[in-house]
Amino acid sequence: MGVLSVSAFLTDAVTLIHGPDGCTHINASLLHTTLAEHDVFRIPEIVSTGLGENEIIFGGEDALHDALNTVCADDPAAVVVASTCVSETIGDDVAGICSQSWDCPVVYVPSSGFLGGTFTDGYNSTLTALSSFISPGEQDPDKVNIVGEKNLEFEAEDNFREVSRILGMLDLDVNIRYVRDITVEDIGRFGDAGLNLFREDKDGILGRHFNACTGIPSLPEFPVGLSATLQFIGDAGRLTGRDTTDAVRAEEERQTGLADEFSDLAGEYVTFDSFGFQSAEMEMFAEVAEAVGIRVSTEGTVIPIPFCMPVGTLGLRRMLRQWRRFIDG
Amino acid sequence: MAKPCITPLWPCAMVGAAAAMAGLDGTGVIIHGASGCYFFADSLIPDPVNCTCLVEDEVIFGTGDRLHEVAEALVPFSEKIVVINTCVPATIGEDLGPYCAGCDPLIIDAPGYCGDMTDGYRLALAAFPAETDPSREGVNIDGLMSTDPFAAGNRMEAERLLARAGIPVAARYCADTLASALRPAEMTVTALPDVASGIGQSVGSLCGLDAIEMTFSALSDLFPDADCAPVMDICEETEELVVKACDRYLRVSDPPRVALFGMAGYVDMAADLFTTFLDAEICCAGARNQPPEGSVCIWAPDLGAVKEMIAAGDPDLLIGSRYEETLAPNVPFVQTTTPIRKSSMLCHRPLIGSEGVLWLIESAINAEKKEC
Repeated sequence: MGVLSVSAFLTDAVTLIHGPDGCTHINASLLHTTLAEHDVFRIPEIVSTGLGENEIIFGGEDALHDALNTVCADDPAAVVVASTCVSETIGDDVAGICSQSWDCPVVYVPSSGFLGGTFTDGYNSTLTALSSFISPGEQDPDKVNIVGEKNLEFEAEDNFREVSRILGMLDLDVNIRYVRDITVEDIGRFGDAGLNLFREDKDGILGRHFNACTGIPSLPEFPVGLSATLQFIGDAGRLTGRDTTDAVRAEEERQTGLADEFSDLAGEYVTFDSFGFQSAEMEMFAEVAEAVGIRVSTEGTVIPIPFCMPVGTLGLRRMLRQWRRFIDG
Repeated sequence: MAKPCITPLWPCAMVGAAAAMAGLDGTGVIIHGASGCYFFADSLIPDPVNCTCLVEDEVIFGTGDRLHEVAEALVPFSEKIVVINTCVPATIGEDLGPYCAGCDPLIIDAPGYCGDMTDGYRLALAAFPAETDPSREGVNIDGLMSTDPFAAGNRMEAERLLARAGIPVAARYCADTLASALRPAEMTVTALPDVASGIGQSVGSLCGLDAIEMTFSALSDLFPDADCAPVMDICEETEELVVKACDRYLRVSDPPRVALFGMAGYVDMAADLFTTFLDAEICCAGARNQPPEGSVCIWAPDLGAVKEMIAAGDPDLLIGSRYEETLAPNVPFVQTTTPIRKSSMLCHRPLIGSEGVLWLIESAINAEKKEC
């Protein structure tokens, strides 16, 4: 699923899952359902090699070979091949077959469920595997790549708009969204940017990879919190060689306006419930509460921590509206 | 031989097998496989299922201990442990019997590569040790697969019709207690033929008015004390209502050009109803499962096939799932097949029996209407 959350957003590529039809159905169904919940009504077209009992006994490599021939005949821009539990267990040489000469580029991502790791592993592996399509570029300091957006996140477009706004305050333009509704050819322009902005790469796995293959400096995550947003502007300016004084001042004024907008909540008491998903101890929540004049106490109104952290100042506005609904409710 | 296909639209055998066994109250169903297999099955099956959540270590060093751990936890709450074996442990081929906490388990090999959901459902029932009990009164109902959104409504409709004829209901496959399911009566009526159990002697199905009349005619011979006349009356009244509504529709509308997708039994029933009462042209009929001989359907288990059929058929009425609706968003649509996630179906609506016929015709006629 981690692989598909990236590869299905490469508009002119085909994803080929090497396994029984049921595995492909599971993933396509979950992806379709998740997108439908976000009011995106499309069905990902994912090809299955359709392994049956015969292939499990005698090997599935011929089936993969045949499927690749069939898929390549339609001349897609690329084929992303993902393996499954059973194809890895029977020991098909998927990497070997993918590395043969094909009529279109073929990228292999090992992704068997319990043999291949988690959703995040598949997501990271696909982002790094697709970097083989990157061509050397000019590294224009006015351009920024947005890397690794969480395509299944409900707020994906909202978050993109917010970071675009913040980057725009520094006269920085988005180069490509790697990988969200782009073509394989678009990936070739990756090297034209002077900065990579990762959606969330706290462990630095993606940062190290893309720094090694492109040399482009990077910011590890979208900004979360008041001071972090200001810090983000400072860092983006430093890495692209521009003065951030005006942009920081403008954002500070915006944040002051945000606190004024929610001044009716000053003096209220809240407490945070993490539901086990996020740490309720995050300093960001205390910082926002303090800025608005809200007091944190175990006796206060229980506020659920959002599953996905709010991005930028706009994200904090949405979060504070939710706090208000809980407090008033 | 394996054949590549684009976006398969039907779950695998493991889901069908787990759905069959989980529908029997008293079973402790364990999906022996990875969490990914379980997560998807659990999202479709309304009854509780459990999982061994195998990881790499167990695949290498053996899955028995993990199975034992889960079975041991379930034994206090279960009359029968049922292990549904998924792709990888089925391929490894361990003998799982000794790892079921000392109980006598039912182990069903249902790896995804052995077939689709309906295959898995039948496979599980073939392994289920039901023994007909000649002393048990009544008739069994089968063809109730819980992943079918109409299964609960179908059960209630079948029970209603049998009750009108004064025939008691014996075992229900698969929506019953384990004890009841293990000792069925000798005769069985089928809600949906695609998932008939093979248990007991089949009397017929309840899919469509002709089938209902034939089935109850046969039942009246087998159950001399039964009074099937009320059911025949219901069929007659239903037909009158349908004829009247369809005639009214056809006075102001051209006959629809219909594309049908779903399980073969439902599609055949709908094709018969629409051609008989609405003069409809069936421009395409695709079955998610392998259609039986004589079906109007062709096998269309993947998005590629469905897309081609809809494009070639150019329908003005579409019967199917959210997938078909997504492919042809501007065509009036009636939802009869899973997935139905976005607009959850809360009421227990039947698609069989007289009420099923009425609902399907009503939905087709109303599909185009936008105003109140």
